[in-house]
Amino acid sequence: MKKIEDEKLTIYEVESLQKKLAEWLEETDEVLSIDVGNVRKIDMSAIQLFISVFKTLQHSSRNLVFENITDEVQQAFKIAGVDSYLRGNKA
Amino acid sequence: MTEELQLFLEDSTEQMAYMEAALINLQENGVNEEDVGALFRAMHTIKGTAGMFGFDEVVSFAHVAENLLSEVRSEKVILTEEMIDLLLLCKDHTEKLIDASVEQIEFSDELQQQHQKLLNELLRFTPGNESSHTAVQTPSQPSSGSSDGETIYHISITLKPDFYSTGMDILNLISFLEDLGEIKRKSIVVDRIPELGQLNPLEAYVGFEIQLSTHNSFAEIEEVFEFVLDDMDLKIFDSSNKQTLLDWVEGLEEKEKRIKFLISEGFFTKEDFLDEEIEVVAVEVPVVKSVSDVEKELPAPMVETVEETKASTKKEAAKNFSLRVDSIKIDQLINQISEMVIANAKIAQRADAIDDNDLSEATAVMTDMLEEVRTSVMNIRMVQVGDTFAKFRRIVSDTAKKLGKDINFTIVGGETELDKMVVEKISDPIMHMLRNSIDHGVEMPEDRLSTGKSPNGNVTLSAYPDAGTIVIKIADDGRGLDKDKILAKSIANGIVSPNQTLSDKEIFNLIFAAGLSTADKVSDISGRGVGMDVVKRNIEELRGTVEIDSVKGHGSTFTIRLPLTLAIIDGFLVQSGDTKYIIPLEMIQECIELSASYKQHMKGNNFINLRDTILPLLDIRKLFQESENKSQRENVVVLRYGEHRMGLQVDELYGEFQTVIKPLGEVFGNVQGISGGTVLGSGEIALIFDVPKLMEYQIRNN
Repeated sequence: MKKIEDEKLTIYEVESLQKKLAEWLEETDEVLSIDVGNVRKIDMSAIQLFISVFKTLQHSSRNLVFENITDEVQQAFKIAGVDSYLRGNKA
Repeated sequence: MTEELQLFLEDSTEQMAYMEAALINLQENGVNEEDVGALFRAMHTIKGTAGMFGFDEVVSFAHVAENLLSEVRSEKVILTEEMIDLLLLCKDHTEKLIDASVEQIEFSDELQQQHQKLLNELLRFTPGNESSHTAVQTPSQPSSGSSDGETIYHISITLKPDFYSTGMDILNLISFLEDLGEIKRKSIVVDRIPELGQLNPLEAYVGFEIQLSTHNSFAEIEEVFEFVLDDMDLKIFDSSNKQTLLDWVEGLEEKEKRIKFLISEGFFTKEDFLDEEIEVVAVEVPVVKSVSDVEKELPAPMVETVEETKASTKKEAAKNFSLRVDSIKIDQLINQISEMVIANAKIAQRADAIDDNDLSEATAVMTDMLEEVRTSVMNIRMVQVGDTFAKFRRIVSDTAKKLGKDINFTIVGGETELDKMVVEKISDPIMHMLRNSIDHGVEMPEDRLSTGKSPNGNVTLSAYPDAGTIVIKIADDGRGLDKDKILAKSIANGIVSPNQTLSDKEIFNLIFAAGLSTADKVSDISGRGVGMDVVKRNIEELRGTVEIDSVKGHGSTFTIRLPLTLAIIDGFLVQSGDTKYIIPLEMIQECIELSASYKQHMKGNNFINLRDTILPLLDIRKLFQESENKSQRENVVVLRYGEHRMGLQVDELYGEFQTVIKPLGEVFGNVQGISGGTVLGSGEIALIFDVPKLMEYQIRNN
């Protein structure tokens, strides 16, 4: 399981997040499991990045799962309408 | 103060004026959507602009007020009299907060106490607060499901690539939509998002399709996106409007794909797209579009249903109603045009002198053009008096409340236009006179009842143009002026001597004398005897006059007459002795020749019989001790000002002349009957008659 240490995932963090996610994709065979327990704020640019990761994984029949989803992340996913496919376990 | 801060101050003053006007309207005409909307928008704008300057106290206060107004707007809270009074106080408080923030003054204890008190009051009315005890509108419909009065809108959002650079998070905007109504359906459009390797994380690739059930209007939904309209393709329409749906999808790049998506996500059914037109589209034959080509050429977010376009145009019209220009620039323009007028007059005169017809013709054309430019520039300065008059509603209502009187205040002729500077300068005198009318004029309700009047007093403020002047009248149906009391007080104060015989009007005019108040009790509203003299002086400084008519027991009317503008007038050039004079053209009724034989017939009287009416004359040559007339021919210029008529005896008549008013300077400033000077084309100076003053002189001396 990979862990995101940042508390904020916004337009200011997406570039470094993209690099991190690209590395993790390389290392993933079946399921990429990401711990987002630290994340207190997430905006659309970061969600878009996760959707891109989701698409990339789906393309090679792999999957994306989130762990320790905080209320803030859950709420943002809901507002964005992505809670049906960016899924995982709540904190 | 920086230019930006100055603009902020001007803008917030304007917003405050909108708020006040809306609140007074709500007070008088009951709750209506338009005024509530105006109120909300004004508070919203203040909050936004104050935020740009980091005025946190203003922002947080405006935010709480805006929250309450938002609830009122969505009809969750009923606006009561008590709340309107509170919002009026909040408007005043916001004004003070802004002033203190701009001046960087520390908030006084009093201001802080008021701040807390008003915040508590606002929260008390806002639902969702523990302290709230608001009259919450009982929902007549269940919150889920659209019902009567609610419209289901389809909102399609496609973010443009650089959307994220706006700093706005689309998630917040979608949350705002949730506040407007119920989101029945929402889907994110992700098909443009590439795989991670091809993705530029700073660019936006997403879109949203949303179905919103709400009582709010198209414009109110659009307002959520007002700061990012250029950074997204936005389409909002009533989802039951099939034609708009078809027109919209028709303009989309990947139409078929989007239709499939909308059907699969449950926004629309296959049948919604099964139209004659869409069938034609399916076989890829160009379709005859039902909306105009012009609309088609517009980018998607601009295409709206007719109704929506109307609503939006109305909003734009309201938005674009004014352009802020420093008044110094306009003054400068007027000055330059004035100089051109003088220069052109000089050319015209020269053309006459050398008898050059072509040049005369060219200068005649130039004169006409200059006149048009002059009129246009003068029009820039013209503003409707209504906006200023509307401010008086608050003063009237506050004063009446304080005194325990009921006043029906009517404004007539708010659309009348007057020079902006004149409007600003006349504002204080009018305010003073209104206060006087309410305080001294209108009786207490019980006194009115005992004299057979309605308990509510009537005060009317009206404006209309009349013969090149603007007339402003303040009329009340109160007790009227007490002639005997004014006279007795004037005699006691030594303003008039006991043996003087005065007409009614002259007695009424005594209230303008310094130090005279007939009020038995001095209040903080009026009655200190200072003010009415200042009122008269202010009006006279604007080259205006004020008259009083009053009937005891029936009320009083103050009539203020003001010149339309202060800079250039259409004049009529005359000569008396060796001096040239200008008479304001609009006051001239006619010119008649005064033959030597008729003069003999007059036998030294200073009046003539003009078509069976007596016309008093004023001989300018005598008045200003001019030299003898050389031409032996005299003329009478018949003048009218208000109700008065008078003939001005002069020697020569030259005709119309565009007159640029120049001040005479301190030495000649106090010459009675002369209001200014002007430079003629020849470089000569002509003096401009102050007709009201000349009439006053004529009446006094005959």
